[in-house]
Formats: sequence, structure tokens, C-alpha cells
Amino acid sequence: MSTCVNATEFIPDNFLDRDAEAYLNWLHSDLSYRQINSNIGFDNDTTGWGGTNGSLTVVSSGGYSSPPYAAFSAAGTSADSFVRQTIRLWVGDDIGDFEIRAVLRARAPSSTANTNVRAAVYRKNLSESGDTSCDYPRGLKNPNNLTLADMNYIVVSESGLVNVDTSWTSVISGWASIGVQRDGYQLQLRAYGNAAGSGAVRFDNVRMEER
Amino acid sequence: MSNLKRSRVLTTLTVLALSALMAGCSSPGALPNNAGAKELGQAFSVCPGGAGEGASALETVAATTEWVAVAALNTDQRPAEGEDRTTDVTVRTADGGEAKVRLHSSFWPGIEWALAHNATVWLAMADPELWIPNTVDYVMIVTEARQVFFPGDCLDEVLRVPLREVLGTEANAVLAGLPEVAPGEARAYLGIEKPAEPEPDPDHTILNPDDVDASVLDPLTPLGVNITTTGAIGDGITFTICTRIPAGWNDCIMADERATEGWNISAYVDNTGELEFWLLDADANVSKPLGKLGQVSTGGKGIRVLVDTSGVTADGTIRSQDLVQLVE
Repeated sequence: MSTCVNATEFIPDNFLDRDAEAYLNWLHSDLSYRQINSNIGFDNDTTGWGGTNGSLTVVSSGGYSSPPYAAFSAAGTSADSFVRQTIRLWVGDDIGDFEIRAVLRARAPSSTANTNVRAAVYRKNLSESGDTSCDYPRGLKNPNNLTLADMNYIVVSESGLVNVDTSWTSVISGWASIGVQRDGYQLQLRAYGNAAGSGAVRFDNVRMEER
Repeated sequence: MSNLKRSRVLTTLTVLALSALMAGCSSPGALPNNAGAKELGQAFSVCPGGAGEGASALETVAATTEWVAVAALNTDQRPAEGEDRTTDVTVRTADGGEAKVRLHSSFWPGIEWALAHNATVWLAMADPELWIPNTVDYVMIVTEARQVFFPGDCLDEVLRVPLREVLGTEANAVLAGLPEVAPGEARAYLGIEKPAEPEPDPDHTILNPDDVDASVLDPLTPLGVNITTTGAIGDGITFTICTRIPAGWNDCIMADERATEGWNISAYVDNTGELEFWLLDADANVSKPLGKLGQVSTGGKGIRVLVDTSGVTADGTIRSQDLVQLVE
């Protein structure tokens, strides 16, 4: 397992940015199915999250496991409107392939709103120049001649389209293997959802899991 | 150790010995106020293992955006002799204030010499986004005789020597004035040419909100695309299929066995509604597209397509550009 960064390096910082949180989970978590993104329950408002083809807000109570949850007003359909979070995961000196999936809870805004949800993970391969060995900054922001090739997002895992009602419903994509063959990966978690008619689909505990 | 590095070390040791003899004592701390930059730099910057390769010295000093002029250090916090670490140190700043900084032990001797010899001590603060806040990146000392040196492990080799080579005989004067230069003007002050802003290039643009300005995406329409292939291309891990419009590149799928079951991806289209399908390498490197597979009209709505991969050989050669069909 990598030792590129120690948790103690961040004691002066009260808040880790999403890459740092993801990377520390990657390095130090011993949990099965560890999460590798941040703010999964929207307890820190929309930090780290964005809405594509729709607008994202956070509701302060009524969430699945903690009070807040996200409400996403899609402008389109469950094929083209999604909530997203992107993190960069530098591989460091890990050599084993890993598996990843998308997991979330969702519910409809009302019993009359036909709501469909899909979870997906996309990846973008990263490469870096420079030969600095694995020291403190590595994996978070790389000051060492970081270059990114013009690579595009490739879908690696997606769930089926799940029709959800007004109770919190689990939506999970299949595990997908990612080979540790690059310097790192930019991973984009997407929660697709539309609520036909008025209202906004609710999301909570939206996360990428790794095993 | 290379001959060059060994030579540098020997030179350093020789100069140190000569300097000590010339100063009539055994300590670099006894060097006079009017000592030269080279003499001071070599005395207060030991580098027995050689500095190795590093970033450009000029870029390093140009990147410093915060300078702290120091009038005194809290000597109670001085690291013990032989220690090699960064510690918290309270300093009195030249404007009478106080600051707590993270200072490497190798900076101390040079700073102490400077404070005892009426020189100006500038702490170059490290970028707080990259390092623990208040970490001192390096120290620049401007002597009474306007000589500039950098105390600390290897910093003479890393900074003073290459800066002298780049800035020439004006190096001392230019560097001495650097902390007074307004933030954002350091590069121009040091004569570093501003790199030309790259022109937006649709051939390399990734149409994703995290990669491109919203002004590029705003005029476009997102839609869903279901892509199914008739089979894997080659070994299934060497190629990707991506969609594209004139404004840039949309999402991709691997051209593997899984693709025969169909993937749902998103794509942006412009007001023509046309969507191109391209074959790319395993990294989906848009700088090197391998060829166009086909093009369909979406009508601005979500579509299903079938890509006939039998028209692509195992090495990625595309036999036809009409391999993509709309599925009702």
C-alpha cells in the first residue's frame, strides 16, 4: 500500500478538499467497500458536487442517514441529467488492480412523480511528468511538472435504470475493475435522475466504493 | 556520486576551508559584513550528496508570492546541532510584528549570521495550497554590501549558482529587489517571458463541466446515447469509442465484450444535432484519434445506435466510415 502521504500532514487543516479525502481513504481505510469521494451525505452542503443539465440544492432535514440530502431538479431526463463529483486518485506505488462501483440512495419527490435513477462511474486516465518520488504533496496536488494528456471520460460502471418511490431506495452499479497501469485516475461519479412533472429527485449517501 | 558532483563537493569543502583560513577563524559565522555572495553561500549551504535535478531556480523564486522580512528568531526554539528537521519558530518581523513559521534547521546558521551582521533576512513562504501553511520554502539574505545568498541544505547549488548564471552580473541587485516587487509582477521583473495562452482547440476539448468553461457547454444540448457494438475490437482493451461534435469530445466506452450489451452515456450536440463516432486508443486520448466510425443525426433527442465493429480490424484499421446505425 502506498505511503505517499500521512494523515498527520493534515492536522493543521480542518477541511480536506475532495481529492485529499478520497486519497486518504484510498491509503488508510481498512474498511470493505471504502468510499473514495467526499461529502457523500451532503452534510457540507454541495461542496464537491455539481449538477449537469439541472440544478442542485441541499435540503436540511429528511435525509437517509443524516439530516441533509440533495435535491436535483433535472432539466432533462435520466439519460442526460445528473449530479456529479470528480476526484483525482494518484496511484502512488500501488500495484494491484482495484474494483469500483457507484452506490446511492434516491427517492421520488412525490408519489405521483415517476422517478428514474441511474448511478455510474466514469474514469479518465492520468499521467504525470517528472520523477519526484512519492512525497507529501503527491496524490493531492502535484507541483512537480504535472501534465495531463488530452484524455476523455470512459464509462466503467453503470446501474440499470431504477424506478424509485418516495422511500429511500438503493441504486447500485456493478463492480468494475480498473487496472493500475497509469499514474492515476480522474473518477467521476454520476447520479442520473429525473422526476417527471414537478419536483426534484432526492439523493443521499452518493458514493464511489472501492474494494 | 558523479565526477561532477564529487568535484563540486570537493570545491565546496576547499572553499570552506580557505574561507575559514582567510577569516582567521574556524567558523563561517565569523565571515565579515562585506563577504561575497559566493563565499557566504558556500559557507552556509552544505550539500554533501549533491543537489540533483530540480525545478528551474528562476521559476522557483518567481513563484514566491509572500516574503517575510525577519528581525529576530526565538533562539529558545533553536534546533540542537545535527538535527535535520522543520520546526515551528516564532519570529519577530522587520515591521515589529510577530509570526510563527515552520523553519528547517539548516536555515538557522545563515539567518543568525545575517542578523548579527546587519543583513536583511527574507523568508520566502511556501505555497500554502501545496505545503503545510506557514512553511518557509527557502531563505534569501541580502547583506549590507548587497550580496545575495541562500542558506540551507544545498540551496547554494539549487538557487544562487543557477540564478547567477541566468541573471549574470546583475544577479545580486535583481534578487535583492525581488521581495519589493508587487505580487504578479515577479515574472516580468525577472525577465521571464509570459507564455502564450493556448487558443481553445476543439480537437482537444473535453465536453464535461469539470474540464471546459460553461460558455462552451451553454449553447449545446445534452442528450442520452445508448451505444451497442457487434463485438469487441481487437483484444477489447486497446480501443475506445467516443462521440464528438465540432465543439469537442463527449464521453467514451471501451470497445470490449461488455459493449455488446450496450452502454448509456451522455453527449452534447449543437443545433445541427449531428453526432460523430470515433475510434480512439485505450486512454481515449483525443489528441490522437484513430479514425471516424460514422455519424448520425440525433434530432436533438436521445438515441440508440449500433456500431458494426466488424468493419474495424484488430489493429484498429477502419475499413468504412459508415459503421454506425441508428436503432429504432
